[in-house]
Amino acid sequence: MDLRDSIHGADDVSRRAFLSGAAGSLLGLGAMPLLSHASAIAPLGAGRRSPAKNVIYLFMAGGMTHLDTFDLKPGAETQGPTEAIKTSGDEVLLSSHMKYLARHMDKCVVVNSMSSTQGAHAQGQYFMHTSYEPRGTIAHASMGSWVSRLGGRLNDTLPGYVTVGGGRYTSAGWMESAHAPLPIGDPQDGLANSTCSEDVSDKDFKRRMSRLAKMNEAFASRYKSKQVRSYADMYEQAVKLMGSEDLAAFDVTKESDSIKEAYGDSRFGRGCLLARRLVEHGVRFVEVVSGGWDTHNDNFDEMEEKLPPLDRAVAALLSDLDARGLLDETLVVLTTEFGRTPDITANRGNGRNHYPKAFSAMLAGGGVQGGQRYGKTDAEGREVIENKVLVPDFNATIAYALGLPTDKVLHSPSGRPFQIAHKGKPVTSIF
Amino acid sequence: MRYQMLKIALPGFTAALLALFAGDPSMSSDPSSVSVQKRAESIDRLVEADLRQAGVRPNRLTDDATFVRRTYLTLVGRIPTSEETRAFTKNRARDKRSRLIDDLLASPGHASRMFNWWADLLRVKTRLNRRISGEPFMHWIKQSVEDNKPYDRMVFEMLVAEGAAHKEGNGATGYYMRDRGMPEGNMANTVRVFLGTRLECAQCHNHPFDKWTQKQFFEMAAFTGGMQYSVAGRNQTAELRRVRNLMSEVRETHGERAVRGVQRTLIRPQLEGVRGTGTGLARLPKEYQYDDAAPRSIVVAHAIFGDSPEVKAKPVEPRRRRRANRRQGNNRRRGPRDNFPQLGSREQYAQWLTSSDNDLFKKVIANRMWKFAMGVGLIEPVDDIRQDTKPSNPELMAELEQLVVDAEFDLRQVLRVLLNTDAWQREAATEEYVPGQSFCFTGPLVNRMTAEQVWDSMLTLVMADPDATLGATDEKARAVYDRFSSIADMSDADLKETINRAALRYSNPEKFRQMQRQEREQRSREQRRKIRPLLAKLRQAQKRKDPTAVARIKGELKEMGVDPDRRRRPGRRRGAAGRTELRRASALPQPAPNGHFLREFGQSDREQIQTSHTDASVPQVLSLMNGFVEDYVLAPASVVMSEVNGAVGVNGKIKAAYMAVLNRKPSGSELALWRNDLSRDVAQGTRDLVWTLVNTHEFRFVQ
Repeated sequence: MDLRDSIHGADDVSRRAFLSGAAGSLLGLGAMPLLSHASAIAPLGAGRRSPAKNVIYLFMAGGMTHLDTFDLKPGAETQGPTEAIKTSGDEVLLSSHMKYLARHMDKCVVVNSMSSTQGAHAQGQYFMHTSYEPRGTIAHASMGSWVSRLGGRLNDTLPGYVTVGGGRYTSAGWMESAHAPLPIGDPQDGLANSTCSEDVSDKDFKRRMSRLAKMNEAFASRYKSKQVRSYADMYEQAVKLMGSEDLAAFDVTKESDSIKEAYGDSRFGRGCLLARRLVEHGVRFVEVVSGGWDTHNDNFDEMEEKLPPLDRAVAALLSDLDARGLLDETLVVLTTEFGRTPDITANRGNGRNHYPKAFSAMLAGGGVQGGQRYGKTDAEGREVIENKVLVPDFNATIAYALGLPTDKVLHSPSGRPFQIAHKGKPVTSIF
Repeated sequence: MRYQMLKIALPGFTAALLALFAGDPSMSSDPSSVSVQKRAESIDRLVEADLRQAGVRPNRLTDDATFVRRTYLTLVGRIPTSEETRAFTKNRARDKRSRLIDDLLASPGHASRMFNWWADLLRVKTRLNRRISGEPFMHWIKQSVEDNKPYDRMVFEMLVAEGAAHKEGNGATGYYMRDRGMPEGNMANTVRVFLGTRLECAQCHNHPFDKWTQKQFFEMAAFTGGMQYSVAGRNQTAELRRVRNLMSEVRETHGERAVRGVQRTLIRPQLEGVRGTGTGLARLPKEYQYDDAAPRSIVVAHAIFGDSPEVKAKPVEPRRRRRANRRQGNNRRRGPRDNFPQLGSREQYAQWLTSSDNDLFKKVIANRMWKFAMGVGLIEPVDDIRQDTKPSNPELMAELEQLVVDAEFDLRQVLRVLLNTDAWQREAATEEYVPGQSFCFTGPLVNRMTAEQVWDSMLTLVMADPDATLGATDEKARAVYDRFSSIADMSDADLKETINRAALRYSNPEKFRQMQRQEREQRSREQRRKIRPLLAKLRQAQKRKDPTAVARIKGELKEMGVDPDRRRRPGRRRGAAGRTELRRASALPQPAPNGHFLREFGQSDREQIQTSHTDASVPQVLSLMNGFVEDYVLAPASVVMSEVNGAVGVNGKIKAAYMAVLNRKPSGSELALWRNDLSRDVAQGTRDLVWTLVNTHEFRFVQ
């Protein structure tokens, strides 16, 4: 199918939303947002390439060590046994366990100056996903929900936001459940149960649905809660999906053996492959979660085991997207909730602890100028010494890549104002 | 405090006593000086006073049908069967509600339900990492809830746990092993889970919006100071020396990589565990930035609130032996290890934390139990209580705390009281709970079933007696204990063979895999030989449409570990639920694998505290429309389909379906609607009927 055609049809909504956001900023906000907007508006006219359409968001849950992955410090005492290798990005060194990805660094920007304020997993992951610190009185929406909400759907029958392999975002926070993620547990299964049993004809199914609607009437009118409503939404979405021609997007088994092989025989690898299929079919935001990065113990042994499958999968994803001409319109993000201590733990088995002060993330595609590092930590990886990128700034950068208005204010049902990246400022120089 | 010591001295006695009372409903209403009816009445008075003040009238009491469903779901985590429902509604006894509550509290299903609750709270996992099993901890929790071990006692046992993690009897060490390598994080979790207080921010800096300082954080952490996650100290055991001698041989024949591999897979699991009773000392971090202490200075254990126990530890820099440092060799950069004397500060910590004088300790559990029953706490969120936090009904909160103390932390007794209140037995509130606003308890809150409740209720529709799948509490842990003791007891020759085999995996992975493959093939050849004739018989039985024979043969196959229903139908893609055992959620691996029915419905991934959820999603709906329901609930042999098909007449079938799925009679209009469908095509109509009922809001929300 021609992706572009389907996008043009659906894009009107997002363009309108975008323009109204831009108008808001012209009507009396400061110079900064105006400037960033001026450049974000450019794609509609001339200048910068058109904004990216999709995001593949690879989340390393548990806190990925920066020193042993993307922020190498050869010779430093804090480096431990990890070895560095050169890459196709002149400025970038990687861990020696990431040989495949090293060849693709010319497509990537490594951000070495990430910094968070949250040092515990729950809070850190929440902050990273929503740009807001957790509060007891509101559930914030995560980036995927924001992108689905502000960007609109590219494909009417597929959801705007899909998570693969877990992750804690199960709802759209304060937003309507239409922007909640569709969670895929095991990428191998894809969207399980998405076809009727062969014993059930279309007519049978329709009859069942109409009986169900009738049976639900009384309950839904007695208990008018968001939770009950959201089930009604999900049935509607599910039925739409069942009839969708794009269902095959969820089926990684349809890929050729050589492609499957390239992504590697790991759950994460299959997750990346599924992500590619989904963005190809117009899903805006796909998050793939990789767990087990909380290496308080045996950090170096763990990296030896965890990095090769990650390396393989991400490298395959980048070259696959590139080969299909999708890399320009797809922003690939690899990030985590925080880094790990430069100091290697004393009496507790060769580990590194939580370290929000400085960590690293990677961006590729979506118009970024690859082959560079952005920001810097000191010689031991302790402090950010150049171009600090706070978590909201990072999310604002993702929004910028997509041409979404970072200063557009949406109100929760309780009347509280929120923005896609809180008050973060995008890093525009990497595009 | 005295009470606690008594309980520690006589755990067996207490358990026996409680079991005795639990088994006898006439006595169970008063096992520990808590008169159930009087307590329930006091709670009702406080709830009603609050409603009067808000100008709202309480809902009326539920009918029997709603009551029996709600009680089964709350106490045993599944819907009642048709038979259980009928037995209750037909019962004419005046105290039948109290009796049902008593019976269910004493049943194995209740232990299963409480295990699920604990598992979410304590992040219970079958495997903690590649070499540490979570089974002993699971066994300990299951045993504790089965014995109705008092809550304070359970917490106490976890906090003082010691010894090898895989050794029988040491299951409570799982509490620390879960957070292996991060005792500070574990302390913050302890304070959050049991004291409802969020300290974790203070690990790195003074708490931004609460009063806690970073120094206080480390003073709390000092209680578990000096804890080691390995049971072997510098004085190695004879056992270890024996292994070490063998390892030098391994090094020669298999190389260094194999040595590390064997150590990881075979030896370290023997050593995993908790050692040290607590030094009462901790070091402030190198980056410590406040004026009240120097970076890296030593602090003495001190509790954040209440009467802190006095820990007699001396915060003096230990003298270091140069040689000791040199021996650490390449670990030098990690800094020297503190070797303060172990003084038993962990026990002091446990005493202080679990004391009935500790306000927050009783408040937190009282509030959690209220939420367990009523759907929403008097304090929300339940684990972020600050100085200025006010319960939505302070008098009721105080009453509940007193109840917990008077019941001596017997949670079954607390639930018994709560479920006997009118407040709980009323029709559900029609309002939804809005975070940040206090909830008006006109009745319990309507929540979607937990993931485990949905799964276990599905099983109730599929199989007879799903509670029989719970299995013995030590079922899986036994293998871990046996492995632990078998390695310890192995002869030199056997140990050598075991180690060499393990080493092969690293020195010659190809050969190792080949060996494994051969063994696997051998096993599956044997199995195929055994099941082939049965499968042939099954096909014949299916052909002549003999449901009894089909069920019997399937049963035989299942006993041999083959699930004939599990095989994929061509062209249809199935979720992981289709590949799993049909057992109660508490008897499955924890957590269920990604993509499993339980995970789809919001079972926690067990990475963080209480992250289970009840949010709607598309995969859930697909499971309900096309997946599990179609494959298992609508299968002709399922309990619900047998009941419906066995019922006489169209009306009888409709009533049977309503009774099994929703535990009530159909209304006149419902009956009329379905009568039409079933009269047209009875087979299709009954399937549509059951499918529809299972898909209703009424099925998944607990009313």
